[in-house]
Amino acid sequence: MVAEITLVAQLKNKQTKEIAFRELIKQYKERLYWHIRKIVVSHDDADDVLQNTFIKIFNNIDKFNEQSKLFSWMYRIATNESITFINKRAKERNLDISDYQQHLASTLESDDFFTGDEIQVILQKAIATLPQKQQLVFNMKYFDELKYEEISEILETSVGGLKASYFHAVKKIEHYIKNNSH
Amino acid sequence: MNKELKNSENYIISKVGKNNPFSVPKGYLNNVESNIFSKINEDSLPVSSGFDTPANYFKELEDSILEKVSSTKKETKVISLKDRILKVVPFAAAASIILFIGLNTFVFNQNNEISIDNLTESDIEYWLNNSDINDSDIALVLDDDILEENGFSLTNLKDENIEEYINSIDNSSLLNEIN
Repeated sequence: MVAEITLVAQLKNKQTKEIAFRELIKQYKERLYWHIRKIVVSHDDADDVLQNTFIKIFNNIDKFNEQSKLFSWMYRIATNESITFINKRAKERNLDISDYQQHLASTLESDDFFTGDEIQVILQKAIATLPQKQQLVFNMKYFDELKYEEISEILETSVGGLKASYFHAVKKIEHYIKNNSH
Repeated sequence: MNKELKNSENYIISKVGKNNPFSVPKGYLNNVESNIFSKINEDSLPVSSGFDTPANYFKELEDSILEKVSSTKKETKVISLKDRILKVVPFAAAASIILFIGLNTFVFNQNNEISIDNLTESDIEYWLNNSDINDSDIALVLDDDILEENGFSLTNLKDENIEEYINSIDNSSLLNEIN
């Protein structure tokens, strides 16, 4: 694994940019894919957003401010791309963003690339009922097990605010599961 | 708050676990790099088609189209629906009378057309018996080909049937004829 600082330097150099970029995709594709997938739900949409995310990274690497971590910067781009994407989809269908997300969760049972059981569907439906920010924080903390400091850098929010968001998210999900499972 | 959070978190973990319920198509993650590179190459193609327009073409387009539209535009007369209907009434009346007469004549004519199919068999028989028509008149009408050998049903008879018939009848007269 190439160190982040070396990778950034190579990415900013025209001669090494392509090789370094291939390395960058190799290192981060899975983490970014799963982050995007939890937001947009379907695999095809996740694939679209992942590609757009990397292309944005490729085109904007010169603007990357080395004060923040490359990883957080890429996560932020992936998050923004995903949210822009589902907003666009909701608008196309004339739906409110939260209605659209509930609709997405209801498609899971028939999704070939969703292998979860009944209770996992319930959890996804519970997540879909949360406000956007709480959804993001919950997924990053519960599934990706990121630290509050990392999430804070990605979402550009204070650690205190994130902790409160996560607390509310967990309580609502607990409540939802209790009401919807037997 | 921390303890409460831990309890709720543990409840969710015990119920659902932390396994990722999503999956990807086989081989998908191995192809991500090449997919992205092909898209980047696509993006690096020139965006412009190379076609150009004369200066100010789009700026002046509305004006030139509107000008054409207004020069052919005529003053539109306003005709009320009632006027329209009243105008049409005499024509409609005349048309319906003509149609009535026309239809009647047509049906009448059709009924008076004479064809052989309209005659009954007894009519034809009556006519044949009462007119002085002779054999040569009939022969004149009939074409030669009607009287061809194959025109008779006789040709369709099978040999066995003929044999059977000959066996079944009194053939003494036939024998007399041969002699």
